[in-house]
Formats: sequence, C-alpha cells, structure tokens
Amino acid sequence: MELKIIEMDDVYTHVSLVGRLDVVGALDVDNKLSGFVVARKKNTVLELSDVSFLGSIGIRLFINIAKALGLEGKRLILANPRPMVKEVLDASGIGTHIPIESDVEQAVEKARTLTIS
Amino acid sequence: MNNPPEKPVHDAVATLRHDLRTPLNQIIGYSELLQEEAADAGQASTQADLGRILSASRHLLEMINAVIEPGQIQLLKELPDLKNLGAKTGTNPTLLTKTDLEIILPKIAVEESVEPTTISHDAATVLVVDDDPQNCDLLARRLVQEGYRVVQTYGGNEALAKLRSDQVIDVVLLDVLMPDRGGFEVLVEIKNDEKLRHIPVIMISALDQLESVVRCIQNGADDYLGKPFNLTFLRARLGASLDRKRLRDQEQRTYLALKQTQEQLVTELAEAETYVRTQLPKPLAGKVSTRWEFISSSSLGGDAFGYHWMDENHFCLYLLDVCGHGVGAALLSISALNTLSGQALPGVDFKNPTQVLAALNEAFSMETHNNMYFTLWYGIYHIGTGELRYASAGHPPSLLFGPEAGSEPAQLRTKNLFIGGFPGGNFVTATCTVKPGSRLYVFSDGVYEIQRPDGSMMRLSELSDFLAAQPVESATVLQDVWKMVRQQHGEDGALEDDFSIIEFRFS
Repeated sequence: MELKIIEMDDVYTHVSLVGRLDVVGALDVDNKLSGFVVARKKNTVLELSDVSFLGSIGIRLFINIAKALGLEGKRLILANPRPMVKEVLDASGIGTHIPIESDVEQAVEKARTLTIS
Repeated sequence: MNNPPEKPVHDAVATLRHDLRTPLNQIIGYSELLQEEAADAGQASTQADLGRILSASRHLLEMINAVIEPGQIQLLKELPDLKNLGAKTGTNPTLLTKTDLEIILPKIAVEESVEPTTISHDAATVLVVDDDPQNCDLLARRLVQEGYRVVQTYGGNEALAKLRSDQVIDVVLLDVLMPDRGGFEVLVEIKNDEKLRHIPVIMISALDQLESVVRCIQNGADDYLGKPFNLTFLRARLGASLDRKRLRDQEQRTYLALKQTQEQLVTELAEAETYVRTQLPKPLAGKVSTRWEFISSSSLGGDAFGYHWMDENHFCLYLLDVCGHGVGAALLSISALNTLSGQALPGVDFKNPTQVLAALNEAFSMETHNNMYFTLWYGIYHIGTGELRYASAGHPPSLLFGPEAGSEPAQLRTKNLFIGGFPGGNFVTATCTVKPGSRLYVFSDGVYEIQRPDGSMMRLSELSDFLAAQPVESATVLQDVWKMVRQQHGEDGALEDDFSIIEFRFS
C-alpha cells in the first residue's frame, strides 16, 4: 500500500492511497497515513481513486483518522472512490460521518473552505 | 605440440605425488609440534636440530611439489635440450639434482612463520576425518593445542555415523581422498541431511586436488585447507567457519522460536474457531427451518450468528462481522453474540431492531472495545403476519427469494452506520412481508468479496444470480455456494475472510 502526498499548505492536506486496503494494506499504511495526516491537523482530502479494494479494517482506519482530526476541529473527506469501494463505503453507512465526494476538485474545495464550529 | 598428459599418466603421477607428500607432511607436522614443545621446555639444541629437520623436509616437499606434477613431467619429457641439461650439470636427466631443478623451476617462496593469533572458539568440537591415522593424529594434536575438543574418524562412513550420533560436532575437517567413501560423497550426504547441513565442513586437500575442492565448495563446503597444514590458515578458517556456524545457530534458534510462536498462534486460532463454532445455533426444522455454513479464514475473521424463537410468534435472526481478524475479533464477536442471544441490553425491546442497534452502538463503542467495530444484520419475523422487521448496520444486504422459481430476490438493507463507530446516530428499521415458501439468505461480506486469481473481485450481484439459479428445493445450496466461491478464489490459499451464510426457509 502506497501513500502519496499530492499537496499540502496551511489550510489543507491532500493525500492519495494506492493499492488494496485490506488487512495487509491497512497495517502497511496505518502509521504513515495517521501519523502524517493527524500530525498536520488540517482538513484532509483522502483520495481513493487508486484503491482497488476496501475491507472493514480500512474503514476502521478512516474512522480513526476522522476522529483524531475531529478532536482538532478538522475533517476528513474521502474522494473519488472506485465503484466497488463506493459500494463498501455506502454499505458501511460511514458517509453519515465522513463526507464522500466523487469529484476530487469538489473535495479539495470542501477541504479548503470547511470549518467545524 | 605440447599435449596434456594422458589420464592414466596423470593419475599415476598424482598418486605418486600423494604417496610421497603424505609421510613428508607428517614429518613436517610432527617436527613442528616437537619444536614447539622443545621451545616450551627450553631445550634449545633439540629445537635447533628439529629446525634443521624441518628445513630439509620443507625443501624436499618443495621439490616434490615442483617436479612431480603431471604437466611438469610432460614438460620435462618434451624439453628438447633435456639431455643437454644433464650434460651441463654432469648428471643423468632422469636423476635430476637440486641444481637441475633450480635451472628448470622457478624459486618457490618458503612460507614464513606467523605469530599465532588468539581466536575465541569456546572449546568447539572438531570432527577430523582422514583415512591416514597419522594425518588424523597430527591434526588432532594441533587442534587440541589450540584448545579445541577433537573427535577423530578414519573414513566417511564412520564420520557420518559419528555426526548422526548424540555427539555434538561444531565443525568437520574432511579429507577429500578416502578409500571407503570420498570426501565429496560425505559432504553431499551431510548437506542433504536436514539435521546436519548447518555444520560447517572444511575440506582437507593436497594442492593437486584443487578441482575436487572447487566442486566441494560448490556443493556446500565452507572452506578448504591445503596440506601441509599452515597453522595460521587452520586457525583463521576454523575460526571463520565457527563464527558462521554461531550466526546460523542463532538464526536457527530465532527461527524455531518464531515457528513455535506461529504454531501456538495457529493452535489458539483453531481453539477460538472451535469455541465460536460451539456458540453457533443448531439447524432448525419446523415453520422456520435453517441451514448454515461457517468456514473461518486462516486467521479467524470475526463472524458470528444466531437465531432463536423469542416467543411462539417471534423469530429472531442475526449475523455480525467484527472488523479485523484474529482472536481479538473473535472475542468481540462472541461478546456481541452473547448479548444478542441472551437479550442482555437493559431496557431494550429486542423485537425492535432500531432499539437493539442503538443500544449495541452505545455498549460496544470502539473506544472501549480495542478500537474494533462490527457490522450487523438483525431481523424479527412474526409467524402470524409474515412480517419481517429488519435493520442492517454497515452490513451487506440479505437476499429474500419469493416462493416462485426464478424470482428476483429482494435486497434487505437499511442505511445504518456499523456498530461502535460513532456514538449516537439514528438507526432505522425496515419492514417486508415474507410469503410462505420464501427463502432468506443472510451472510457476511466474506461470502462474495472474493478476489479471483486474475485480481478481479466477485460482486454481490454474482452471488445473487447464483442463488437465484439454484433449484428452489435444493438442500445443498449453501455447499454449492461454498464450492462456487472456492472455484472463484482458486483452489490454493485460504480465504481472507470468514465465510458465513444462513438459509432460512419459511413455511
């Protein structure tokens, strides 16, 4: 599982995952992703366009990051999941707590402007 | 034309050379030993005399090395002025003198003595294998002087027997040429033996056996020692081999410890799976009949399910899937299963799926359950009305097939977040009517999230289509689903997730 840093500035973080987010993939990327994203304490776009599989362990990873960012008043936004990954996200019901955007630019725009009161 | 010597000539010369060098090497070896003992005893004149014996012996050895060599013999035969050489020195060319040799052969450097170095070997045990007892003894005495424990054997078979006995051997010094079983053959047997292959083997060879030595090293020998033994080389090569063995032994211990841990883990997972299985309900017959298949993944995926009559009218059914794998996931799944089967949520109406899911969400929050959550499908069937009230929390839909053959299944799912992820939240319930003769399939995602060998993933719709294609009365639908999934996954390799599916038939 690979973590790519797409862009970061004072307002937001934009990263992308590549590979299968199953048990092995989640273990592989958990520390890198959580450590980097949470430490920056910015609204974060997590692009999923190159994630071919999402298991329950991957959803747990999203929840943990979302909760950690939430403690800092920041949001995690999932962007551009493939249809199969989108199905899993929809089935999990996670969309009620973590925004899912099909369009990356919209996700970035949301990350730049979103504030939590 | 300078042709290579024919093989019989070559072999005869090699044998002659070996036969001459062996006793000479022993003279040198024993002289060295005695010289050292004389030095230790302060016997200067004896030491000096032994030095002269040594010097003469080494000189003789140099001449043998130089003259009795197959290629060199051929060269001597073909030298056009060989007779002239004899005439020049006043000797018969077949009885060459030292002067002749000095003319023909290049000067041979005499090995300089080197001060011994200290190598820590913790009294390792060396097995010396040489068919010549005097060679064996000479080497053994040297090694004992160096602080090694020595075991002597005089042939390949005896050496193998010793290695396979209870005697602990740290390194083998193995002669290449032996009558009963050659060094190469013994080496191959050692390296093919699972229990012996880690023992380093140093080949002992004369200089004209270098081809054999190369073959031995290609087949697993660690090093070689030429005859006569050079003490410095002996120390260095034994020390290096023992160092490598120590590292290998350490690796082996680490590997065995890891293997033991792995075996323990597998045993614990198997015990956990057995326990989970004992908690699963027996198949039912009657107005609601059930069948199920539960095949755990190699690392136990955290699936559990149950069903029971709550009263004479209400039948409760549920299947849950804890995120992650292993004993931790199984513990949570059993805990949640017991909560549901024992209806152990105070103040909750278990005939109301919304209440059940909301209460579970509070009771099993990730923060207090090792950062784990679970998905759940929960339903209550009323036998009098045929009404099925259900709610799913992050779980795949269940598939309800009507009594008519070939009917499209209804996907029973509600949009609720999985259990334990976030506190609060509204959990919704849906309702449908189950006609007599209907079949309901409740399952975990491990039943259809299957990766094929080509990397593609099976889809829920494929499972649905497969179930729809099965004969309505078939009693082997679940086994057939399992076979299909195994086929999709490929026969090799364990599934990544638990495979859990329940069939409910309503009459």
